[in-house]
Amino acid sequence: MMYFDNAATTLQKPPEVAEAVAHALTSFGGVGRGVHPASLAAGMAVYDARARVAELLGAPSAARVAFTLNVTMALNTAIDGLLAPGEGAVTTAASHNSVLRPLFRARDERGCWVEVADILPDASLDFASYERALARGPKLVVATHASNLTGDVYDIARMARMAHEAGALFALDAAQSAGATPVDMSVLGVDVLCFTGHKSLFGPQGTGGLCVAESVDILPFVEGGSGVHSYDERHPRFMPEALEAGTVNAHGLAGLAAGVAFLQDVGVGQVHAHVSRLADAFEAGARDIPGVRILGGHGGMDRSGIVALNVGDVDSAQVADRLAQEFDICVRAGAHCAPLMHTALGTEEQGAVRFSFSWFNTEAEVEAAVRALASVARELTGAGA
Amino acid sequence: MMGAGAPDAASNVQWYALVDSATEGFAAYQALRAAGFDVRIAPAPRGVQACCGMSIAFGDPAEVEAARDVAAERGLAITEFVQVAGSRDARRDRFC
Repeated sequence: MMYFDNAATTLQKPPEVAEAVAHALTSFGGVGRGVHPASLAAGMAVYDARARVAELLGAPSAARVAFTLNVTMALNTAIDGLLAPGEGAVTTAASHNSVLRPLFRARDERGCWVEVADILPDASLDFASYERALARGPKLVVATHASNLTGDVYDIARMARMAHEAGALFALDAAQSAGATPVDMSVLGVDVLCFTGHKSLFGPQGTGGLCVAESVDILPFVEGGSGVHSYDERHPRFMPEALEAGTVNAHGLAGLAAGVAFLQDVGVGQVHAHVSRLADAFEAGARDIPGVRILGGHGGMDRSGIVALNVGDVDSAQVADRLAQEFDICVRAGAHCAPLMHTALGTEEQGAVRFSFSWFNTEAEVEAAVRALASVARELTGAGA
Repeated sequence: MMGAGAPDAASNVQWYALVDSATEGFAAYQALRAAGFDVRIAPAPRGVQACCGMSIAFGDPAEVEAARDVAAERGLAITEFVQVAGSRDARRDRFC
């Protein structure tokens, strides 16, 4: 099997990740619910995960890293906890539904307003549209760092600067960038960075979180057991407990810590160079196939190891299915939970076939993928036969 | 319970560094261990602090002053150093 669906989740992970999870399953007590050896084993592992994530992503400290089940929950936490009724938000058409849906819920249920800045047909951000949206005076801007469809990486430093000049906080959806390209929230000027653990950070599914700047106060999304201040009626407001109620996924976070440790050893710059080489090589080969159209990919500052394409006017799901059935190649097809991006690119009906590469993919696999795609394209379109 | 003061290695007291949260506790514990102090994580003495269940216990009371200086230098989030009398009897029979 050749796995090119790393933008959904990474299948191949460093072996230390599974080892850490297996060890945790047989040695961890409850995190923050005691100071006996089993509880401390879990507590130290979760602290290690916080500290490593903070270092990797440029968070102020370990205490400013709160863990959630995934980046969707992290984004919901940030949006819900920062947008008061009646306040406004700006996002872009590159946003995933994990950004769009909580914003639209705030619009529909709390009287908030939402402006969506346009994405141009080449997948770049229309900065004039973004500027017009900011002129309305939002409380919050929530934007994706890298498109989960095309891999375009947006100029977050510029977007955050513009947001701050307009008086808004800036929250970043780093689902596709954390671990795939160097990210430092302090350098980028990001107030809240939402990440997932199970993509380029190589952790297990069920891990993710948010890094929160010192000056930012997010209201708790979920209230419940906190391990501390048990006699308070309401949930603690200090980080990270404010954004973590109940028992965190310590088993998973032990795995996340191992994944981040791997990245710290290899260097995210090396990972980025590798996935970029693979994406460039695949795109170059795919462009030569009759009927193949590459979508976006060069409208941003950079690209995060993703290539999206279509074959003639063939349903993208058919292409992906042929690749899986005939060549044992795993890719994602369809709408990718990015409806407005498809609208911008004109692919709402057809969807798109997305190839997404990781550190563990090889050049030989890319060459095989190009050959397979050529075969499927010939089969489905008759072109080049 | 006695308030924070000069450590008394000979008497039956235990010194603790108190913290407001587990995250701050782990950070302080790791920093003190890395600096060579004989510390462990222990339940926070109930009569002193009811809210956070964790504290840092000192194995050697003679180290407390030096630890206090290190905590100040490195900005460790330790809220207080306290002694709790009667919590440890150095002369107890450990083998019964």
